Amino acid sequence: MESSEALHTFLLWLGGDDASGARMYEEVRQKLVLLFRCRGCFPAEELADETIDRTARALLKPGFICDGQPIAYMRGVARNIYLEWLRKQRGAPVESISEPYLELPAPVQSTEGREVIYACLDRCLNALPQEKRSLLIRYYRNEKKSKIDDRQLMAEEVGVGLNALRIQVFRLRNTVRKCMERCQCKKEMESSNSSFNM
Amino acid sequence: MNLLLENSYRRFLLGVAGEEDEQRAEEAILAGAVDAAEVGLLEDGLIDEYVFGDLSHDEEQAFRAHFLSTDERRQNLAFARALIRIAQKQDCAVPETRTDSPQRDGQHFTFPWPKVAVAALAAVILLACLVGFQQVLLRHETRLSQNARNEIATLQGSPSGRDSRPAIDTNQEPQFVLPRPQRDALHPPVLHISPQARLVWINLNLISPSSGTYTVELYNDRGQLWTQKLDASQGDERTIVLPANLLPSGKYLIQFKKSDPLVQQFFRVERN
Repeated sequence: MESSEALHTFLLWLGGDDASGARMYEEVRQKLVLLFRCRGCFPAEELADETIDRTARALLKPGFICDGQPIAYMRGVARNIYLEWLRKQRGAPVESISEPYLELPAPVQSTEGREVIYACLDRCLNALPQEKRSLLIRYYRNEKKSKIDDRQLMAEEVGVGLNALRIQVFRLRNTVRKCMERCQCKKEMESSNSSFNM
Repeated sequence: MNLLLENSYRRFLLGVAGEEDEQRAEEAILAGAVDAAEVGLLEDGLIDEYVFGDLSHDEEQAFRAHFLSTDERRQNLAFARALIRIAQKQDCAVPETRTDSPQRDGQHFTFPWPKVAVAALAAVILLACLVGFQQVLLRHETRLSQNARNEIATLQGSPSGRDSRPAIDTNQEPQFVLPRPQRDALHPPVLHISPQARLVWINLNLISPSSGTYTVELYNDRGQLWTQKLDASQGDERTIVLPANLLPSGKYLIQFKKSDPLVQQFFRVERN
């Protein structure tokens, strides 16, 4: 936000006073970040901030009119920003990722990198209580038809619906993912320290 | 999330949504009908389907060309691949024994009596040490509390420190706390502001019986940065919101004025 005047006007427009405006600001920002994230934009936070800044500048222009809700106006601004971002991305040289053999456009991992992933994953899975670990492993064990049947059976055993089971697994998976991020970070630091000491 | 919205989101995430789907998905996010956790669930679902080869040909193309555009999603895909590979290698019907816990298969479990006795003895000694340490801490806390009470009594006795003193309480966004005012200008309280912060909230508690209008003024070493009027009739607890970029690292002074400054507070900002 360029000026305190722009911020103040924006907060008043959002919430009627500074305090409610600031609360709305945070809510709206989070929603915009999620919106850009869903669209696959990066960095979503910067685009959300640009949407807010552009709206705040528009508010200061003489003759600014917005009949509807602020959020509806900002949706329009967000859409323009998305289209601009898209144009910029298309203009930038992008490696083709549609070749069948380039199945995974992730950065190529060295054998060492893969070993770290598997070692960390193993450690993080072992950190889960046995029951939860078995649930997660079993959820991902089978493929195709047997996967569907087994998940149905699991849901019955746990005494929940399929959707509730999916949510349980999603949470467990997030726990493991966070644990892995910490573990990988630690391992990378250890390896960079050891190569530094050599 | 209902099935219609879920399908709209699926297409939205894959970048193949039509106008109607896009509108539905955008409106649901901005209205707060869909949150980040629900979107995360759908994203993970798409990633799983890709790894298991359950996406249609068109979906698979869109997944590669559009969905995998962010680092975060690519990392999630690598994670899902590793997880599924490990899951398919293991037979969860026979859970692996963890090396850090005793084996408890019911039939061959032997209770390690000597180890238990040593552990129990160690626990008793540790407990005794803890109780002793706790008592030392308690005595120390009591002394500190007595000192604080004495200090408060001294402050209440001074005319400038009574009634009109506003207390700067907390900042809600960004996540930092501005401590209570200190009179020591050499060691002012410190506000830590992260680089991502856009707003700084300061909750003020105007402990004052007076009515009328107050002015809050913020200064740095180059002069006045911010001023705002507060109506005392609107209550004691007020919030001022400042743009975070107004506060680079440095020393600041915040003043609450009616005609003369009622009180002033130095503080320091540190950018992480």
